[in-house]
Amino acid sequence: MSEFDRLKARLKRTATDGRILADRQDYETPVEGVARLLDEIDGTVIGRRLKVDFADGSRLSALVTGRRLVRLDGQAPAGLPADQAALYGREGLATEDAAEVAGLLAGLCGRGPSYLLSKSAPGEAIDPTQAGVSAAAIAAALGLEEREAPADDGRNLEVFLDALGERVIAAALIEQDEIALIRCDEETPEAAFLLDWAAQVGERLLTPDFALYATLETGGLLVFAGARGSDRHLAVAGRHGRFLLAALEGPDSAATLDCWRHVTLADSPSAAID
Amino acid sequence: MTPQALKAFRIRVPDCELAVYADLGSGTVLGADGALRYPQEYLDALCACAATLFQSAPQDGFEPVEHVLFLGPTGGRGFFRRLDEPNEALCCICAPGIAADRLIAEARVALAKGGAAA
Repeated sequence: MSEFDRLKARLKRTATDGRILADRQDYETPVEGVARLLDEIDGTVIGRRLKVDFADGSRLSALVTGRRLVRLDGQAPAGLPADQAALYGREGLATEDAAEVAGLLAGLCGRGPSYLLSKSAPGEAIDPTQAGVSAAAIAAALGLEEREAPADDGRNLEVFLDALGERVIAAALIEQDEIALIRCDEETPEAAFLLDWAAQVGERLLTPDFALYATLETGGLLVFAGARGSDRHLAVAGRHGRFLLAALEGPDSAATLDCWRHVTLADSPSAAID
Repeated sequence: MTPQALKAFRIRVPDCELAVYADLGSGTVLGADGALRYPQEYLDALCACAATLFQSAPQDGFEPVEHVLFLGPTGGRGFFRRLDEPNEALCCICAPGIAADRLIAEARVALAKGGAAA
């Protein structure tokens, strides 16, 4: 059996029973241990239960979805400060809890040089609108340096724009809080329309309060379209924290979706997996 | 749309794993049909998501939005409404490989037939 076949078999097994084999992680410093946990949280889009067994016998069971930690379950390990112990079992963890969560994770990772990490199906339905605490917020609370962006750094947005070709009426890129118009002049009505809409989108959709935000930000596409025969439709695409807004000619929202699928699949290793 | 109409819609669109008919104004789920049994809070969340999306459409300079499609690495969503009944929507959760043109066509047919009867 080749390495690739082994990988496929493991992925199929994972999809079947929702479990991933436990993995021992050794680290030099508690912060390094936390950073690895944050990598796991940041890579978990579909709801999963993350279990961490620390060297001293302490255990952490966390519900993670949409790249956010939404709840800590089980009994708080002995010896925790009261504010950290109070995090266990609490519903509605949110960004303002990042400092306490960061302190808890660092404290637990400081109890030994390694932990055993396992992920499994959550065993319950998770409300996708729960805010939770993002890996980025925990990292910021710990003073960790901003994590390196993946190699493509969102360039798929430009590839997508190129693939849409002549259908693009106007487009804008949003990165951090900055918006830059591309493919249209600032003085045109199309530009004014797009900038107006960008403000609305930023307020309602490009926020962790929006249920699909985590997926949209990671590599998702939204298409807004009118009835048959519309003269244009709108798209919002996200990739690694950057967003593209575009006004497109014609009513064919399905073609825009297919175009995005083609661009993102072409760049994905999973495209090769049957 | 009746539960039977939602079921019939899903039969015509096999990649649709869950179809929910909802009143966006009141945030009420009026009916659902899915490959799995989804808890009520999940259906409510989908309904809330539809309401947010339709409210996020441009208010000026763009015609009323009839549908919103979403595609991510692990799946798709489709939100559809009749423009003469903008507060009621058909919300779908679909496989990532969903044929969007077929989904749109079937949703229009289902809403035209079932929306009036709901």
